Amino acid sequence: MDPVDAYRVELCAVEAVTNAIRHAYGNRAGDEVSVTVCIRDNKLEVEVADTGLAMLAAQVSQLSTGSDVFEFDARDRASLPIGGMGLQIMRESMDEVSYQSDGKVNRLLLSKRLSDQELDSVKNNVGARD
Amino acid sequence: MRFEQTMVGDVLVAKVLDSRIVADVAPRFKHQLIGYITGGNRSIVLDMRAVSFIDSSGLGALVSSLKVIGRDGDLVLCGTGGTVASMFKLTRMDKVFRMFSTTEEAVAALTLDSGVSVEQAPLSN
Repeated sequence: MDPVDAYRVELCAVEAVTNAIRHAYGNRAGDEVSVTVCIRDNKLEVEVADTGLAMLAAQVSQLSTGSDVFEFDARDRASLPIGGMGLQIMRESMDEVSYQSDGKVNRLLLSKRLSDQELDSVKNNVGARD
Repeated sequence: MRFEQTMVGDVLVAKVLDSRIVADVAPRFKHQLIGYITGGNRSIVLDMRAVSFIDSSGLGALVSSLKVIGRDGDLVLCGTGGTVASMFKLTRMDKVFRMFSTTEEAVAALTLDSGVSVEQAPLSN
Protein backbone atom coordinates (compact mmCIF):
# COMPACT_ATOMS: atom_id res chain seq x y z
CA MET A 1 0.00 0.00 0.00
CA ASP A 2 1.14 3.53 -0.73
CA PRO A 3 2.77 4.98 2.43
CA VAL A 4 0.34 7.92 2.53
CA ASP A 5 -2.68 5.58 2.23
CA ALA A 6 -1.22 3.33 4.93
CA TYR A 7 -0.67 6.37 7.18
CA ARG A 8 -4.28 7.44 6.68
CA VAL A 9 -5.66 4.00 7.55
CA GLU A 10 -3.58 3.98 10.74
CA LEU A 11 -4.63 7.58 11.43
CA CYS A 12 -8.32 6.70 11.11
CA ALA A 13 -7.93 3.73 13.45
CA VAL A 14 -6.13 5.95 15.98
CA GLU A 15 -8.81 8.65 15.68
CA ALA A 16 -11.60 6.08 16.13
CA VAL A 17 -9.99 4.55 19.22
CA THR A 18 -9.36 8.01 20.70
CA ASN A 19 -13.01 8.94 20.09
CA ALA A 20 -14.18 5.75 21.82
CA ILE A 21 -11.97 6.41 24.86
CA ARG A 22 -12.98 10.08 25.09
CA HIS A 23 -16.64 10.02 24.17
CA ALA A 24 -17.93 6.48 24.71
CA TYR A 25 -16.07 6.04 28.00
CA GLY A 26 -15.45 9.66 29.05
CA ASN A 27 -11.70 8.93 29.45
CA ARG A 28 -12.54 6.35 32.14
CA ALA A 29 -9.89 3.66 32.53
CA GLY A 30 -10.59 -0.06 32.51
CA ASP A 31 -13.01 -0.40 29.61
CA GLU A 32 -12.38 -2.17 26.35
CA VAL A 33 -12.01 -0.89 22.81
CA SER A 34 -11.53 -3.64 20.27
CA VAL A 35 -9.92 -3.16 16.85
CA THR A 36 -10.44 -5.83 14.20
CA VAL A 37 -8.64 -5.67 10.87
CA CYS A 38 -9.53 -7.93 7.95
CA ILE A 39 -9.50 -8.14 4.16
CA ARG A 40 -12.97 -8.72 2.73
CA ASP A 41 -14.27 -8.35 -0.83
CA ASN A 42 -11.08 -6.64 -2.01
CA LYS A 43 -11.34 -4.12 0.81
CA LEU A 44 -9.30 -3.47 3.92
CA GLU A 45 -11.74 -3.22 6.81
CA VAL A 46 -11.01 -1.83 10.27
CA GLU A 47 -13.73 -2.20 12.88
CA VAL A 48 -13.45 -0.26 16.14
CA ALA A 49 -15.95 -1.38 18.77
CA ASP A 50 -16.79 -0.21 22.27
CA THR A 51 -19.53 -0.80 24.84
CA GLY A 52 -19.83 2.77 26.11
CA LEU A 53 -22.12 5.63 25.15
CA ALA A 54 -23.19 5.62 21.51
CA MET A 55 -22.29 8.47 19.18
CA LEU A 56 -24.85 11.26 18.91
CA ALA A 57 -27.10 11.19 15.83
CA ALA A 58 -25.58 14.45 14.60
CA GLN A 59 -22.10 12.92 14.68
CA VAL A 60 -23.27 9.77 12.89
CA SER A 61 -24.87 11.84 10.14
CA GLN A 62 -21.63 13.86 9.87
CA LEU A 63 -19.93 10.66 8.71
CA SER A 64 -22.06 10.70 5.55
CA THR A 65 -22.71 14.41 5.06
CA GLY A 66 -19.31 15.73 6.15
CA SER A 67 -18.55 18.86 8.15
CA ASP A 68 -16.98 22.24 7.46
CA VAL A 69 -14.24 21.80 10.07
CA PHE A 70 -11.53 22.28 7.43
CA GLU A 71 -13.28 25.21 5.72
CA PHE A 72 -11.44 27.78 7.82
CA ASP A 73 -9.73 31.00 6.85
CA ALA A 74 -6.05 30.03 7.07
CA ARG A 75 -5.06 33.68 7.72
CA ASP A 76 -7.39 34.01 10.71
CA ARG A 77 -5.69 32.08 13.51
CA ALA A 78 -8.65 32.60 15.85
CA SER A 79 -10.90 30.66 13.44
CA LEU A 80 -8.70 27.56 13.26
CA PRO A 81 -10.08 24.30 14.68
CA ILE A 82 -8.30 22.64 17.61
CA GLY A 83 -10.65 19.63 17.77
CA GLY A 84 -13.56 17.93 16.06
CA MET A 85 -11.37 16.84 13.16
CA GLY A 86 -11.41 13.07 13.66
CA LEU A 87 -14.70 12.21 11.94
CA GLN A 88 -13.93 14.40 8.94
CA ILE A 89 -10.46 12.86 8.64
CA MET A 90 -12.12 9.42 8.52
CA ARG A 91 -14.66 10.56 5.94
CA GLU A 92 -12.00 12.04 3.66
CA SER A 93 -9.48 9.20 4.06
CA MET A 94 -11.59 6.07 3.73
CA ASP A 95 -13.86 4.87 0.93
CA GLU A 96 -16.66 3.99 3.34
CA VAL A 97 -17.33 4.79 6.99
CA SER A 98 -20.36 3.38 8.77
CA TYR A 99 -21.55 3.26 12.36
CA GLN A 100 -23.95 0.93 14.11
CA SER A 101 -25.10 0.67 17.68
CA ASP A 102 -27.39 -2.04 19.06
CA GLY A 103 -27.60 -0.44 22.49
CA LYS A 104 -24.83 -2.67 23.83
CA VAL A 105 -21.99 -2.58 21.33
CA ASN A 106 -21.06 0.39 19.14
CA ARG A 107 -19.23 -0.46 15.93
CA LEU A 108 -17.46 1.96 13.63
CA LEU A 109 -16.47 0.34 10.35
CA LEU A 110 -13.74 1.91 8.22
CA SER A 111 -13.29 0.49 4.76
CA LYS A 112 -10.76 1.10 2.00
CA ARG A 113 -10.67 -0.54 -1.43
CA LEU A 114 -7.43 -2.32 -2.30
CA SER A 115 -5.90 -2.55 -5.74
CA ASP A 116 -5.05 -5.98 -7.20
CA GLN A 117 -1.40 -5.22 -6.53
CA GLU A 118 -2.13 -4.37 -2.88
CA LEU A 119 -4.16 -7.58 -2.50
CA ASP A 120 -1.32 -9.64 -3.94
CA SER A 121 1.09 -7.95 -1.57
CA VAL A 122 -1.11 -8.84 1.42
CA LYS A 123 -1.41 -12.48 0.28
CA ASN A 124 2.35 -12.74 -0.19
CA ASN A 125 3.03 -11.27 3.25
CA VAL A 126 0.54 -13.64 4.89
CA GLY A 127 2.07 -16.53 2.98
CA ALA A 128 5.57 -15.50 4.06
CA ARG A 129 4.54 -15.69 7.73
CA ASP A 130 2.92 -19.17 7.44
CA MET B 1 7.42 14.44 25.44
CA ARG B 2 11.12 15.02 24.97
CA PHE B 3 12.52 18.14 23.33
CA GLU B 4 15.95 19.56 22.63
CA GLN B 5 16.13 23.35 22.56
CA THR B 6 18.60 25.76 20.96
CA MET B 7 18.49 29.55 20.66
CA VAL B 8 19.62 30.94 17.32
CA GLY B 9 19.58 34.69 17.82
CA ASP B 10 16.03 35.42 18.96
CA VAL B 11 14.66 32.25 17.39
CA LEU B 12 13.98 29.22 19.55
CA VAL B 13 14.60 25.94 17.74
CA ALA B 14 12.79 23.13 19.55
CA LYS B 15 13.49 19.65 18.25
CA VAL B 16 10.88 17.01 19.03
CA LEU B 17 12.67 13.82 20.03
CA ASP B 18 9.63 11.52 20.13
CA SER B 19 8.34 9.84 16.98
CA ARG B 20 4.59 9.84 17.70
CA ILE B 21 2.42 12.79 18.70
CA VAL B 22 -0.97 11.29 19.51
CA ALA B 23 -3.77 11.76 22.04
CA ASP B 24 -1.95 10.39 25.08
CA VAL B 25 1.00 12.79 24.77
CA ALA B 26 -0.74 15.73 23.05
CA PRO B 27 -1.57 17.58 26.33
CA ARG B 28 2.11 17.49 27.36
CA PHE B 29 3.16 18.51 23.85
CA LYS B 30 0.81 21.50 24.01
CA HIS B 31 1.92 22.38 27.56
CA GLN B 32 5.56 22.45 26.45
CA LEU B 33 4.88 24.61 23.39
CA ILE B 34 2.75 27.07 25.31
CA GLY B 35 5.46 27.16 27.98
CA TYR B 36 7.92 28.34 25.33
CA ILE B 37 5.52 31.11 24.32
CA THR B 38 4.61 32.29 27.81
CA GLY B 39 8.34 32.16 28.57
CA GLY B 40 8.78 35.01 26.10
CA ASN B 41 9.62 33.22 22.84
CA ARG B 42 7.84 34.73 19.85
CA SER B 43 9.79 33.12 17.03
CA ILE B 44 9.75 29.35 17.28
CA VAL B 45 10.96 26.66 14.89
CA LEU B 46 9.61 23.22 15.69
CA ASP B 47 11.93 20.59 14.24
CA MET B 48 9.72 17.59 13.42
CA ARG B 49 12.33 15.44 11.67
CA ALA B 50 12.01 12.69 14.27
CA VAL B 51 8.20 12.65 14.10
CA SER B 52 6.78 9.86 11.95
CA PHE B 53 3.14 10.05 13.09
CA ILE B 54 0.84 12.82 14.27
CA ASP B 55 -2.92 12.60 14.80
CA SER B 56 -5.59 15.30 15.13
CA SER B 57 -4.84 15.70 18.85
CA GLY B 58 -1.22 16.54 18.05
CA LEU B 59 -2.35 18.87 15.30
CA GLY B 60 -4.79 20.52 17.71
CA ALA B 61 -1.91 21.13 20.14
CA LEU B 62 0.06 22.87 17.37
CA VAL B 63 -2.94 25.01 16.40
CA SER B 64 -3.58 25.91 20.05
CA SER B 65 0.00 27.11 20.33
CA LEU B 66 -0.35 29.20 17.18
CA LYS B 67 -3.46 30.82 18.65
CA VAL B 68 -1.56 31.67 21.84
CA ILE B 69 1.19 33.37 19.82
CA GLY B 70 -1.49 35.24 17.87
CA ARG B 71 -0.23 37.97 15.59
CA ASP B 72 2.69 38.70 17.84
CA GLY B 73 5.03 36.02 16.46
CA ASP B 74 5.18 32.77 14.58
CA LEU B 75 5.57 29.05 15.06
CA VAL B 76 6.96 27.39 11.95
CA LEU B 77 7.79 23.78 11.22
CA CYS B 78 10.68 21.99 9.61
CA GLY B 79 11.36 18.37 8.71
CA THR B 80 7.70 17.51 8.09
CA GLY B 81 8.27 15.30 5.10
CA GLY B 82 6.39 12.43 3.50
CA THR B 83 3.46 10.99 5.38
CA VAL B 84 3.46 13.58 8.19
CA ALA B 85 3.26 16.35 5.58
CA SER B 86 0.28 14.52 4.06
CA MET B 87 -1.56 14.90 7.38
CA PHE B 88 -1.15 18.69 7.18
CA LYS B 89 -2.40 18.64 3.59
CA LEU B 90 -5.40 16.44 4.43
CA THR B 91 -6.51 18.88 7.14
CA ARG B 92 -5.53 21.99 5.11
CA MET B 93 -3.09 22.92 7.89
CA ASP B 94 -0.41 23.17 5.19
CA LYS B 95 -2.07 26.54 4.46
CA VAL B 96 -1.69 27.57 8.10
CA PHE B 97 1.82 26.53 9.10
CA ARG B 98 4.89 27.63 7.22
CA MET B 99 6.99 24.51 6.60
CA PHE B 100 10.67 24.33 5.74
CA SER B 101 13.03 21.51 4.78
CA THR B 102 15.77 22.48 7.23
CA THR B 103 16.08 24.35 10.53
CA GLU B 104 18.48 26.77 8.83
CA GLU B 105 15.85 27.80 6.27
CA ALA B 106 13.21 28.12 9.00
CA VAL B 107 15.47 30.21 11.23
CA ALA B 108 16.44 32.43 8.29
CA ALA B 109 12.77 33.06 7.49
CA LEU B 110 11.89 33.99 11.08
CA THR B 111 15.03 36.10 11.43
CA LEU B 112 14.05 37.96 8.30
CA ASP B 113 10.55 38.47 9.78
CA SER B 114 11.90 40.00 12.98
CA GLY B 115 14.99 41.67 11.48
CA VAL B 116 17.36 40.34 14.15
CA SER B 117 20.94 39.06 13.83
CA VAL B 118 21.76 35.36 14.22
CA GLU B 119 24.01 34.02 16.97
CA GLN B 120 23.70 30.42 18.10
CA ALA B 121 23.62 29.48 21.78
CA PRO B 122 22.61 25.99 23.02
CA LEU B 123 20.19 25.85 25.94
CA SER B 124 20.20 23.33 28.72
CA ASN B 125 16.94 21.34 28.95
